[in-house]
Amino acid sequence: MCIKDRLLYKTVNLNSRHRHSGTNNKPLFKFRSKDTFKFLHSVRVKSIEIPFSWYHISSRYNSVEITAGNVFTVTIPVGNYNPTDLVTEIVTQCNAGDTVATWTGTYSAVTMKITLDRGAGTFTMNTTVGDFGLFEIIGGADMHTS
Amino acid sequence: MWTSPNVVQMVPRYITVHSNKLSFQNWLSEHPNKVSGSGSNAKNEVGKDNVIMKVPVDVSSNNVVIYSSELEEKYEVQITLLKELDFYLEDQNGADLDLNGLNWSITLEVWQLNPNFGGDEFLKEKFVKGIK
Repeated sequence: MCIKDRLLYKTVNLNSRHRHSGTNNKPLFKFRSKDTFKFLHSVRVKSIEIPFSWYHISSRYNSVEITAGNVFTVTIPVGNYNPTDLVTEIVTQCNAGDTVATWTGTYSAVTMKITLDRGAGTFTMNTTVGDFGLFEIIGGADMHTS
Repeated sequence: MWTSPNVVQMVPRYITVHSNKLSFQNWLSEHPNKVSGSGSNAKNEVGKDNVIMKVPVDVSSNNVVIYSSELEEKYEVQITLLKELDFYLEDQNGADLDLNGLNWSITLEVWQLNPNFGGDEFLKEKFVKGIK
């Protein structure tokens, strides 16, 4: 008799609501002594249900520093945005931070890319400064000078 | 004027589910849903042996990401006694996933030796014969 013939399994459903400790994002479950698994062999993940309740533009991905004559930081309020609303918010922030030029921006549903325009002026997104997650979100690659 | 060289990423492509207690020793090499290794972030995640599942995000916000594995394969774990289980969720870039107070669930099939068969031989097979 091979070992596979001697195995049995139990299905365990764990909800972070019923955690012993930790948080709903990082739950720790403790089994009662009678439910402890001994001679554990293997585990199969059958299913996972995760509510899409996180903010895609979170505090990690919501800012980028821009040099456009003066230096300012664009910080987008955390939340979920569609691309057009995100561009609008970025442009609003740029116009608030830039003391000289007027910014415009568009999102192309065809190319799925963002275009930012500082009128006649140039600008740089300082991706080496701080957390530049927003730069990645909007499709940036490396440090850019317009 | 600047046009983004890459497309806008409005939603994460996938979530990774981690567990320090469950370390699937054959996950990285054999799991069909493993991190591909493309891109610098993915490359980092390949090295994490506590990634137990990569869940594709195929819904928009305010919906529920539901992943049901149709695979029958089980993954051997490095422990023989399971008293507690921990999990944590990260986005594709390795950042903690903040569900803003909502809860999530996971269903596992936990395989163990039938107690009627005793455990000595099982332990010998698992640890002496080289599974671990």
